Amino acid sequence: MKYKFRLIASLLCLVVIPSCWAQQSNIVGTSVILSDSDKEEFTTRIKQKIDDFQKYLEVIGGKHNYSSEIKDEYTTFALNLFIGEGDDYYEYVATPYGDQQRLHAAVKMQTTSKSRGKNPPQPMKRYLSRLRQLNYDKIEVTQADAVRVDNIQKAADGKYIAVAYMCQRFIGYRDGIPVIDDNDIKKITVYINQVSYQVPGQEENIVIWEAKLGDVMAHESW
Amino acid sequence: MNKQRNILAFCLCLLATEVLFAQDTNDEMTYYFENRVKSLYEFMARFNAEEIPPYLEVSDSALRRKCVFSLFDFQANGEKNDNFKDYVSFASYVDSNHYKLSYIDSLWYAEASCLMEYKGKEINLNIVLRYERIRDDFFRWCLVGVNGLLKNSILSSNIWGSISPIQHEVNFIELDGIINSDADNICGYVSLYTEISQLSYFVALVREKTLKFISCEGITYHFLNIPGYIFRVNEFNRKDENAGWLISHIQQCDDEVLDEYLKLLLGSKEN
Repeated sequence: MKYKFRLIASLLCLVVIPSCWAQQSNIVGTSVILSDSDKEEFTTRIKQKIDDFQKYLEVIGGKHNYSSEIKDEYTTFALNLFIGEGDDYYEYVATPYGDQQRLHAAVKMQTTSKSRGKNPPQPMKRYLSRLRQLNYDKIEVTQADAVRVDNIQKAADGKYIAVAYMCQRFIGYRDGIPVIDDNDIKKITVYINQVSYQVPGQEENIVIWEAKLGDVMAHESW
Repeated sequence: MNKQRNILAFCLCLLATEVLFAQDTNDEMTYYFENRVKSLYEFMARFNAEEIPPYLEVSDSALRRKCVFSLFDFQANGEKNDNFKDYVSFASYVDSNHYKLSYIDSLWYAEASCLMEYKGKEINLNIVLRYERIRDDFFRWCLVGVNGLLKNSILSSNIWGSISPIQHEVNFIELDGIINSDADNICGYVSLYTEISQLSYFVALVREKTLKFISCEGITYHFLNIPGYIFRVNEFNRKDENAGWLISHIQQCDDEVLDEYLKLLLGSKEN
């Protein structure tokens, strides 16, 4: 019952939050220009996505208190944060002749470990599935308060791309003892997309800036 | 009862210590994270003094100079660093000439050190990329050079082959033997005055799936756009205020040195 309530609450959050982010964008001709406040909002929004991802990881990777169904649901939530939702996806790229569509490989995740250093990047679906199999009793994912988002660039199809940088600590416990404790710096590509929604009863569409996470690269911090 | 109280007090102490420790760890992570030059974007912003490192005062009269100076790798020669004088001189030069870095400058390159597979063998190749405007506000990275094919003897410059001077009269009948049976030495038949660029050769090898990418092991940025200087930027991963993307090498240069440096970087020449 408790989990059902949590799920409903999470779903409600997912529906409600984007509408809070609805905002008037500056549209000049056919191109969309970001104001400083837009950029600030993106940074907050991206931080929020990263926080959500970390919370989901704790549920997916932790053994106690979470049934297989709950873990399935949280895996879906986690994948929904990413562009392509864990599968190959089509994206538009700018060319001198206009925007062209191309197939992009599924989002990848890189992790680090104290013993091996950087591990090769693996598809996000495989990462989540492996994390689940590791069967830790408990997982704690914490990050430094600071998250930096920079290099917001214009991409094709009215999108923007950026990179988020954060310092993360991942602790996995078995029998109450931390068996893995890794600190690393994550670099996450972020896709910012303009989505317009039709609101019932209103003629004009609402424009929402939607952020999706992309590939996650990592290197051991210290 | 007293015993229970003591145990409770002990547990509370442990909990408090853990909370404090966690707080310290987080503060420490945040401290080093904020000081670190986390991206090339941040490197350029600090170089231009558009972003100020947390340990510098915004009101400092020598702020620009200090911003540039702070971007050097101070552990370049271990504990001893004899290059401080050069660093100071470069920082003053940049400051007094108001030089700035920008993504849209033409004379800066990214050199990706890649691990690749060639005919089942792992080799190291450097792929050189440049930031390029596609149209309007759209940019991309594009390949402009490759170096390492000569070093790995994949492309050879010291092979000699010759087609007989009367071959034209017999419909270049030798071409069959040269192309089909002597393929390994094909480079030797190219004119002395025509360069086989490593980039073109690389593109053909990749296109034919003879050369496969394994991983990118690291990136070096080469900046050649500050007149009279060449410097390289690498990422230094350590628990220190002086960490992240930092200047790892600097040298003064004239046009001749610059030209030579570019040739080596882009692969028109190899050591």
